[in-house]
Amino acid sequence: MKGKGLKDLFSMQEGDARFLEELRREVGDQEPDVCFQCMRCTSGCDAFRFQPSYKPHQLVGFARLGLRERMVGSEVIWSCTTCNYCREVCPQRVAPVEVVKAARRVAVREGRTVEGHRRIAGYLVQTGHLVPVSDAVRRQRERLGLPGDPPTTHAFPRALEEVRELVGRTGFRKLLGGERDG
Amino acid sequence: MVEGEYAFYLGCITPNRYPGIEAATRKVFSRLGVELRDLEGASCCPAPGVVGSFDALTWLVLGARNLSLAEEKGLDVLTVCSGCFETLFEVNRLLKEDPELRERVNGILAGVGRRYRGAVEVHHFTKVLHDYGVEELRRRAVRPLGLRVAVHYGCHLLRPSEKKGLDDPLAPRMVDELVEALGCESVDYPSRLMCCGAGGGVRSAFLKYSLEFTRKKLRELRERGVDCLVDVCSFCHLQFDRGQKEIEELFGETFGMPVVHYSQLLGLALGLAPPELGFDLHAVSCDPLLRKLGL
Repeated sequence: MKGKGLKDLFSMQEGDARFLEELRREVGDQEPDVCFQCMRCTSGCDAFRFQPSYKPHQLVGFARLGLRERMVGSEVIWSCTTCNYCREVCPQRVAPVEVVKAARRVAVREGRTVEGHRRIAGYLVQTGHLVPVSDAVRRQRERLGLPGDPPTTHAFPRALEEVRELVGRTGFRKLLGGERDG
Repeated sequence: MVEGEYAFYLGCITPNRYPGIEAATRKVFSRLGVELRDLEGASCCPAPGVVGSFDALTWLVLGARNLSLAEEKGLDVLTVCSGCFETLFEVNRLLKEDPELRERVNGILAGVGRRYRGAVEVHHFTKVLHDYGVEELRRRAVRPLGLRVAVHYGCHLLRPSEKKGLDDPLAPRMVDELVEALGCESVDYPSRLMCCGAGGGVRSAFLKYSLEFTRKKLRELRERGVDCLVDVCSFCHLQFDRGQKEIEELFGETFGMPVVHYSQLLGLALGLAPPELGFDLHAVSCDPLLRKLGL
């Protein structure tokens, strides 16, 4: 991802050099620039099978051009189940899945989240678990000879305080409004 | 590292939705003479495709905190969910490889008096069992099962293979060998290596779309007439078991396919009773399967 963005000849959008910088920071050791659009990722992608507008090679292409809106402005980036198939088969070792996850993080920072995600993020902040225990499961656990509350943040309030402190320090509480949703 | 002793990392789905998997895991490892110690105060791993898609630093920091709990005990980590495996394995690898990133994470952990040192390894329970020995499992299986099963590998056990190196990612045999050790036949099917559809925050955001994946696999299993699906991940387990009820509601299609986590299958083979392993707590009845076994 070097150089500044180019113009997309389909949408006539200009590439956004700041977005390129932001993606480059998020994407870690991946190098989308070396993608030569062979489409091996998309041809075997299960998400593409059920959601044909989700094409990993195309998203990597958008990333290379710095086309912010085509990525973070589109809900399609949330169609990926992160199965890692694209990463496995890419002859250039690009890992499209990591490019997509990077774009999602940029979208989340701009407040563009998908319904449902804010709720589970709130559970994490409130309980330490994305999927917390329920009374019905507590009874099942006891019948199995397990303690009703598992030996996690559920049974250790000090551990939960630690987790809450940490998600405050990383900015996660502010980012996903866990406080308000809790 | 103490041999035959692990820190049992529970995660969320296992203790909070399928406690039968937790009970089965504790019981089978105890029978095999492997000690599992609780990781008191552990949190969500946090989930790789969801929290990893929200904020990378939070994913690293909470993952490192969980690893630090195991480091305090001086024990390697064992997981029965491939999502937890992905997060803890990857966080461990990234922080071991990148001292700068480790210091940044430790700077935040210091605020609660913790430190990640990079002193333990993370293992998926199938790898631990495979290393324990397929022949040894065969010898200990007092109740040979004789079932025709479909193995679901899921995604995060094997991929990315470049980092994990557990088995051939496009033609794996590890879990097949584990079910064969218990007297089961592993039935091949076209979408064997396909995703269950739950990961990456897709289940919580787009339930119907996520169930398209699940339904495709279930249709193939029905055609092949297998006795059950065997999974090695609590999240895949939830997607296939509870997902069948959701598919009934959203698509009007019924499968009645029993869904069994490998810890539960092993429990049956070791002679444990189905209620001890939580078979009665599934959304889809496992009775046809258990009847076939005379249980």
